[in-house]
Amino acid sequence: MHTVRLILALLMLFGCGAIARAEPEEGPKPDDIPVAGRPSDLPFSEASGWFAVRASAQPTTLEAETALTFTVSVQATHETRRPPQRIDLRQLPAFAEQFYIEEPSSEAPTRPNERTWEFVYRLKPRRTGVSEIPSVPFVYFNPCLLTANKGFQVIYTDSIPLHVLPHESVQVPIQGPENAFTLATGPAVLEHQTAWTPPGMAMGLALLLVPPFLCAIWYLSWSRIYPDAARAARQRRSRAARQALSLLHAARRLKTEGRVHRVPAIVATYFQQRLDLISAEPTPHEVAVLLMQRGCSPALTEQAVRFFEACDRARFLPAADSERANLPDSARQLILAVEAETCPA
Amino acid sequence: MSCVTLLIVLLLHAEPATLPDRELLERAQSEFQEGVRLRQAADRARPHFRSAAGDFEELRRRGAGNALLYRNLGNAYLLADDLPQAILSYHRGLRLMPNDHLLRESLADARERVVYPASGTLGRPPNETRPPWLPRLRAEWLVIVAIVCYVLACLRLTRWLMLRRGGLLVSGLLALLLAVLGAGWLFILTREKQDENAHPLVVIARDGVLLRRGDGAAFPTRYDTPLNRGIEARRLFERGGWMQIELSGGEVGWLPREAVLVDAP
Repeated sequence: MHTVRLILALLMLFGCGAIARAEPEEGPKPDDIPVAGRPSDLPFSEASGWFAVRASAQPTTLEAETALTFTVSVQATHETRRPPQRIDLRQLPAFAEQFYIEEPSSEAPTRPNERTWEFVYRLKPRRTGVSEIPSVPFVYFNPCLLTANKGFQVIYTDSIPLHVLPHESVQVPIQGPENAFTLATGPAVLEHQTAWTPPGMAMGLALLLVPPFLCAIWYLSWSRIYPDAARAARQRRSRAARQALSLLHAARRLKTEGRVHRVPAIVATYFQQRLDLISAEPTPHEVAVLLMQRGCSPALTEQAVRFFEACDRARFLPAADSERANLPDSARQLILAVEAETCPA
Repeated sequence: MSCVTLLIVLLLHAEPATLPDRELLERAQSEFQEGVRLRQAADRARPHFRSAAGDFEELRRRGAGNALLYRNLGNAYLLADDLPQAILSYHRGLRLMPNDHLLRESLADARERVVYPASGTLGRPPNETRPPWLPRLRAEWLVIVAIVCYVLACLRLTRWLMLRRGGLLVSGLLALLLAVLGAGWLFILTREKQDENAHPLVVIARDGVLLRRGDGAAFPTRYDTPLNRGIEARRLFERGGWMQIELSGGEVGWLPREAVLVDAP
C-alpha cells in the first residue's frame, strides 16, 4: 500500500513537472512583456529582469549652454530576460525644460561588464537657474513578480546638484562714430518744432500788396502834410538854381580862359542837382538825351545843346572871343529856361 | 460703504498712469547712458539702446519733435543696430534743421553702414556736390530776407518819388532785385517741399528685397540685385500692400509695403 502511494506521488510529481514544462509552449514566452500595466506617463526602458540604476554627471560646475556628460548606469541584479534600451530624456519634461539634449552619435550603450549597461547623454543647461539634474525614472518589467500587470517597476536615480555659471561670450564692442554716443539733454529735447510750410495764396498776396499800399498811404500823407510837395521840391531845385546863378555871377570876374572852363562846370553841376545828371562833363548829346528823358520841350533841349556846343567851341577853338564873353549870360538864360519849364510857378 | 467699494473698484480697474514726458525723457537718457557704459559688450548694451529708442519714440508720438530729439532717436537706433530707423530719424531731424552738421555727419555715418550693391550705383544716394561751407538757406530765412528787401525797395522807391534823388532810385531797384531773387529761390524751395510731401522718403527695412515690375510677387524682378536695409528711395504709388518706389538714380520698381519704412508725418 505504501509502495502504491509512493508511486502515485512520484507519478503526480513528474506529471506536474511535465505539465509545467509543457505550459510555456502553449502560453506566453517567459521574456515577453505584457502591454497592460505599463506606466503611460514615463518612457519604458524595454528591460525585463531585476535592475538597479544610478546616474553620474561630469562636470557639475559649468557655464550655461555648455555641455556636460550625463551617464545613466543600469545594473542587473538578477537574471536578465531583456536588456534595457536608451531612454529618450526629451520625453521627460523636467529635462526638456532645463536642458538642451544633444542627439546621440550612437544609441548603443557601453558595457563595462556583463551585467551593466551605461547610457551616455550630452546635456546643456539652458540657463543659470538650473540647479540640478533631475532624477531619471527607470521603468522596467520584473517577471519574477506573480502578477504580470503589476510587474512594471519604476526606480529613480538620485538627482545631481549642478552649479551653472553665466555664459561668458566673446565681448564684441559696439562700433559707431563717437558723436553717436553723445546725447542731447535738457528741456529743449521736449520742444515741438514744426517744419516750415510755404505761405498760402492769401498770405502771399498780402505780402505782395501791403507794402506798396502802405507806401502809397505814406506818399499821400506826405503830400498832405506838405500840401505843396512840388513846392518843397522846387525849393530844393531853386536852391540849386540860386547857387548856380550866384556862381555864374562870380565867374564874370574870372579871366576869359578861366571863365570858359568854369561856366560849363557850373551848369553841369546845376544839371546834376536839378535833373540828376550823372556825367560831370556832359557832351551836348548827353544833355539832349537827359532833357528829352525829363520831358523837356525840344526848344529847351535845343537851347541847352547850343549852349554846350558853344562851350566846346569856346574852349577848343581860338577865334570865338564873342562866344567866350557871352557864356555866363547864355548859361544864366539856360538855367532860367530850365527852371521856368520844369517848375512852373 | 458703497462709495468706498466703488472707489476701490475704480482704483483696481484704473488704467496704469502714464509717465510724464520729463520722466520718460530721463528714463530714455539713463537707458542710453547705461548702453554707453556697456558699449564694450554689444549684446548687453543693445537692449538698453533699444529701450532708449522706444522711449524717445514715445516722446515723439506724444508731440515732441525737434532736431535734438531726432538726433538722440537716430543715435539710439543706430547703436541698437536698427539702421533703417536711424536713417529715417536723421532725415526727420534734418528736415527741421537743415544746417545741423551733427545730424548731417550722423546720416553720413549711417549711410556708410548700408550694404549697397557691389557693382553699379543702384540705391546709392547721390554724391554731395555742395561745398560744405555753403550754408543751406532755410526757407524761413528766405521769406524774411525777401520780405525785408521788398519792403525796403518800396520805401526807397517811394522816397525817390518824393525827393527824386538818384541814390534812392538805385538802392530801391537793388533791393527790389534782391527781393525778386529771394522770391524765386523760395519758389524753388516750395516746389521741392511739395514734391517731398507728394513723394515721401522711404527706407528699405530689411535685407535682400527685390524690386519687381508690378505690385505682386508673381511679377518678374526689375533687377537681379537685391536691395539691403538702409537704402533710401521715394514713394511713388501704393496699391494692395505693395509700394512703387523710385531710387535716387531714377530706378523704379515695386516692393512689399512691409519691407519699407515711410517718412509719414
